Amino acid sequence: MIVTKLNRFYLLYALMALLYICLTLFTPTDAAVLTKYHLSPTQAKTLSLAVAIPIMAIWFIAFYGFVHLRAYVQVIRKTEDGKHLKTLSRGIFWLAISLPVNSIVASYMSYLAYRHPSAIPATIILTNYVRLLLAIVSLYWIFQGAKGLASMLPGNSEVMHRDDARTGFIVLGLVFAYITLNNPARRSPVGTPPRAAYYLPDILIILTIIIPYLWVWFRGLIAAFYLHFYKQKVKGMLYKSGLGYIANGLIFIIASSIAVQFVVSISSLWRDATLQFILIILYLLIVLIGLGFFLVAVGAKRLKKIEEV
Amino acid sequence: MPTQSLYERVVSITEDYIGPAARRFIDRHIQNHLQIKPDQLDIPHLKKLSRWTNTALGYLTNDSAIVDEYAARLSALDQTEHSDK
Repeated sequence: MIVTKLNRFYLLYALMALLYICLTLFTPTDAAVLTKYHLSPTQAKTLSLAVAIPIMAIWFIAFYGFVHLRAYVQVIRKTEDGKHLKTLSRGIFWLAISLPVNSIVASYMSYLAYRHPSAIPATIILTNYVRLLLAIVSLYWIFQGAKGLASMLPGNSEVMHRDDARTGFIVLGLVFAYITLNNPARRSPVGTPPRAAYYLPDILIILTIIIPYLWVWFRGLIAAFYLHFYKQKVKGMLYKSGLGYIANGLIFIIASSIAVQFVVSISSLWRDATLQFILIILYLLIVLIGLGFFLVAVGAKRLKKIEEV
Repeated sequence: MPTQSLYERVVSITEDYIGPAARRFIDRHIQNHLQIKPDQLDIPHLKKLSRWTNTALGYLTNDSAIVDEYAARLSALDQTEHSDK
């Protein structure tokens, strides 16, 4: 079989990258955006490509990280740690795939909104829920896997009762809820081009955006603590060095993903920020995610080597 | 049983280097190079097993001190088992 199980994921990546390139190149840019940033249509396309290429490179690193983690998991899938790493790798797959899917959905929805301005609220609502759904699925599996790994070692129950986890979560939750509910553009369109962040009444924003995100982030935060705990307590100096890359990579990925979700969910507050500032912040966060996936790949390759000698 | 104990001791020492992968690692080397079941491991097998596991560990790390330490611990096991008997 030419297309093996592993490179099927690269094929999936290639298809999504191609789709994203097509959406970037062949969909028109909103005239209001061109006016706001003083860009010609050609400059706007060039800029979009300049953003799209590094983003697609990060997607590739994400798939590369997942493919290597999966290859390692396949080797040890019948062992206890293998079962938990398999669950965790399922979450990593959803996290990797959420990067292109979110971008493709957002691009396509922008195109639909451009063609049918009356559909703008629906496109924004759909984009927000797709992003939330993917975050829920990916961090759910990552949490289950990380918890399973930690459960193999004594003292793991302490992780759930860490004061720094609770404090961090409460601070994050309060800031997120405050910013979201004080955003003047949360329900009705504001700025240029006129867009609202959610197009939902406050009660739905609380019930279907804020609470689910806080639940997901809490799971992500605890998963990161579980991984850190496992990394600290597990035996084996050579195993630890490989696992350290995976654990640190996953902690990076979880933290950066939460940061991206946070930044994107409050992005309507940035209407007056310069294009350069917005791009720098997003690039930085996306590079951190890429670095996390790269570390996962390095660690998975090292651990796989142990199983091969 | 001394043989079982020897196997467990080898696994336990190896765990200090490759953690949860130790049992799989030792089982693989016993089966592939000694052509016996893990619970049949006995003192005469130890030297040959040690040669293979040291080579494998050397492939995993460039730090020769780690490999030497591992070899010395396995070798000490051989002497301990002899004195026990």
